[in-house]
Amino acid sequence: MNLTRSLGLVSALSLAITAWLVFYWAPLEQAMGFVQKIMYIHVPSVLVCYLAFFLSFMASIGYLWKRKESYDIFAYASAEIGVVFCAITLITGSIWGRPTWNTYWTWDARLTTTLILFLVFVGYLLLRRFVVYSEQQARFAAVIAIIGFMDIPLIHQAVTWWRTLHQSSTMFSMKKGVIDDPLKWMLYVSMVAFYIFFAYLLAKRVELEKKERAFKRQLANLE
Amino acid sequence: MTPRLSTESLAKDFGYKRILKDVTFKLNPGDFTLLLGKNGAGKSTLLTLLSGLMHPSAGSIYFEGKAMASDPSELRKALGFIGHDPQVYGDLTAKENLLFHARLRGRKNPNALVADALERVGLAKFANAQVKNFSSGMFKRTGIARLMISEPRLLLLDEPYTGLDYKSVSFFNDYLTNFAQGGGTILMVSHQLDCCFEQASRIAILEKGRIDLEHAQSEFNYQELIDHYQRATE
Amino acid sequence: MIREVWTILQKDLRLELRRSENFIAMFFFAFIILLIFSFALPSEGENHQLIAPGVYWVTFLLSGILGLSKNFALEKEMGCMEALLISPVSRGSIFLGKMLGTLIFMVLMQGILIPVFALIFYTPAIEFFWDLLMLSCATALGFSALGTLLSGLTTDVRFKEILLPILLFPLLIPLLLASVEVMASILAGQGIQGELDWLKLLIGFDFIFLIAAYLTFDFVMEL
Repeated sequence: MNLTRSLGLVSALSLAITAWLVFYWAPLEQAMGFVQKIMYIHVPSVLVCYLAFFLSFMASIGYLWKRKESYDIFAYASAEIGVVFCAITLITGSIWGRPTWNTYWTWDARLTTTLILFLVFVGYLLLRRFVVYSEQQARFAAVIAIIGFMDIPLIHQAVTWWRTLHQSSTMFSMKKGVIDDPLKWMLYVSMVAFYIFFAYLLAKRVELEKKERAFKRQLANLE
Repeated sequence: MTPRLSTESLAKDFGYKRILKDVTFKLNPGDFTLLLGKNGAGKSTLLTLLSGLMHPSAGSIYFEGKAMASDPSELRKALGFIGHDPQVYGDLTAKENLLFHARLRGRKNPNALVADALERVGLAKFANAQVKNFSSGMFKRTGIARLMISEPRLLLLDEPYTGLDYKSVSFFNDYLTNFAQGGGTILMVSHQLDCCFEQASRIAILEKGRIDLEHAQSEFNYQELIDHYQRATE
Repeated sequence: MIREVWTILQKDLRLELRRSENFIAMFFFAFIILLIFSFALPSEGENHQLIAPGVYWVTFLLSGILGLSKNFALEKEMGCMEALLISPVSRGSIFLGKMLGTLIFMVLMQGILIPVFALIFYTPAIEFFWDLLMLSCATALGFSALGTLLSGLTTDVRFKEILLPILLFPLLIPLLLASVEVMASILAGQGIQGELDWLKLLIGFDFIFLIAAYLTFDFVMEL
């Protein structure tokens, strides 16, 4: 059985176990109640998202250095999946915000940074769409991924300072230190499940992209 | 003798399609090679690749024995290029355009050099005229003047005769002959065989992404070549 | 290398002077945006001190984008970009030459715009002309660096007028935030060093992206 398929099975299994644990084992948090369980999607999503963008950043550097197509495919796939998990992070953050502070969006420093990151990498995907497939497209996308990722610490710093100046709503506390033991373990379990799921999605997407390109290449070169 | 320019299994993709498949050839100092081929065969692409503007999808290019991939600067210092576009700034005068290139290359006495070049191509009267009003022949002549300023060792020319009148064609051919005799290397793409066939020392034909024929010009009968070429371009 | 940069810069400045419609168009566009803000926002004096930095920098960004796209369009026009690329000039020199050209024009434009801004929108701003101009230099540097890189990247791309802002603006958010905060401190009479942290962020941004853009410009300039 090849890597992708085995990853797929393992991730399906681990997600199923996690879901069961979330609903039947993890205790209810006193302050926030049932809605707190969305943390088990929100936190792993943000971690996967940043990992995905980091991998895209590394693969982009690799591509510009070695010019091997596999780096380009990896960068593209990783960025795409990163954008999806970024969206999930923002949406779950918003869903959590509503019952908790009566607002769908709060200008929390971390969420805002994630939003800007979302915009940067959606721009990356748009660039890929607008430039016809060529090694030029791969090069341009790589440059954007690198510049975009390098901007993250600056964006985070700027937004954090900005937030402390314009404090209008209460602090968004997600301090991990405050979480009790069983909840902490639940979080770790869901993180692992999400990482495995990410690995599966990445492997699958890379496989698909390789096949698509090979096919299009064959088609274009028919004499 | 190290060839001035050589390639090995050069290939170039445009998107998914491979335009140049396996181009291997050598150009020696003193060669004047005419490159022929159908429209869309990839002649302009090949010239663009050789000039270092694009990276190949596979294969390598060597300038005077050294791989271009590692250091294109040697090639760029020795290159003279005429392409489809005029490559001049419309709002600057002919003189300003040429001075720009002379200064970029660090030529000594740029003013004298530019004045001399303009004189030789017959544009001295228009030195202070804005280039946007030039005719296509005048664009080409400005390009030739720029070549002279660059003092190249390798010329890559893509349809250099378009728009030139008889006098300019003959002047340019003289320049090319002197250039080749002085050890320069020329690779030219041109559909106007009547202008350049006599001057060329070698003929190469690009077909299906490969260079198929590479013979001395003397092996060709002009009429046979026209016939073959017409058949090839149908 | 200095000679190369200077030659390119000189050429660009000369071209701009001949074709001053670019500069004039950019200026008028900025003027119109200021007018629109004046009409669209409440006309009380109190509010204006708070809003002034925001209005100023949004105007800067929108009119700056106009100037950026012009920069490379000129080169593309008659194949001049190719002529530059096949000459023995290093890509880094081309980048610096173009970037400095944009920088000079932006600073010149801000020099004229600050009094106009004071006239239409917030009169006390004129007392701080030199501080504001210095700040504009710092911001314009970061803007020109990233802007030149991305402008070169999007020159050949479909929908470049939309893609350039989509890619550029999210990346510039730290620059925007820092500029707004420093300007607010200038207008409050604390001078350019009033918000030292923000100023450091601004300079840091400039420095990081000047280097990053210089290094990646090579990859953007192949055909």
